Amino acid sequence: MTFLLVRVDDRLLHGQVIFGWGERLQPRCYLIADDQVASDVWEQDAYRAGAPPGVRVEVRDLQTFTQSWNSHEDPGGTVVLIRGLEDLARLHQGGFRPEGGINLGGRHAPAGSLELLAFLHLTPPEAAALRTLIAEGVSLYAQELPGSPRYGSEILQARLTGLRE
Amino acid sequence: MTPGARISGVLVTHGALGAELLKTAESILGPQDDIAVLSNAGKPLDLLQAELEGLMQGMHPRVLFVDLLGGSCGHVCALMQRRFPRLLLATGVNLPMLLEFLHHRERVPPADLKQRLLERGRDGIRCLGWESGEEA
Repeated sequence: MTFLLVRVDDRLLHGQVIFGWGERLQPRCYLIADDQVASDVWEQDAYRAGAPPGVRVEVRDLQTFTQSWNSHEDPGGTVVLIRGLEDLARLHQGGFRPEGGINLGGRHAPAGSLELLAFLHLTPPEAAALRTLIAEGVSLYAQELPGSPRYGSEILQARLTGLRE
Repeated sequence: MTPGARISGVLVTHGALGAELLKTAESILGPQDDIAVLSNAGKPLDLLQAELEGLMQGMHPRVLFVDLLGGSCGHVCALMQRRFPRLLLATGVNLPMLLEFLHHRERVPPADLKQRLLERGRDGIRCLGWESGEEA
């Protein structure tokens, strides 16, 4: 299964995604893999209300997503959104292997986090999840917007080492 | 809402947009009370939501203004509006809409205010020039 973009972003569907990436990639569907949103119809409605006209917003809980991502009915370009690295690690363990790399797009400073990049603040469990994903050979890159710098796995690995010290 | 009571509001926006909008409005109308600003800059969604809840409990706003419905600000405000149906969520806030609110919030009933915000906000948007052929 090929997606236009698979992005880890704690804001899920928001301005940078809709206007920054969406204007470039022109997706017809945003597919949110998230337990919280999947359990809250109001929140799903709020995301749908904010999506561009004619663009579908689909929501799956993580378990359903791991079982169904490879048979996703793509209406002409889909962007997958995942809230955090621990969720991504769960999806990876469940067999999520999209073609192309996975974009780490935004983690805004939660309490007790360390700055990996200006737009990527990680808690210790999130940093551990990232180390594991890199060690298992998952292709990751950090990039906030289409025109902004791209940091590959090697750079992320080096920065993680710096965080640990 | 009795006539004469001042309706309070919160500007929930990206970056410094809300603060600058309010500052600019105050430079036109003078200092304003019962209006707060909340920025999403650097905040995870749950923190933005918690800060908005703090404002809800502290100042009981009736109107939330957001810049972008599809953004994180619009998202947390849409969730708040569902929880508090008496809230009005006004999206695409611009200076004409904010000035209309600040100027009329003590003078007109809420239903009229809602219509005024929509009309003034939209009416402020024009594209002048580039008549046929001139854009080339």
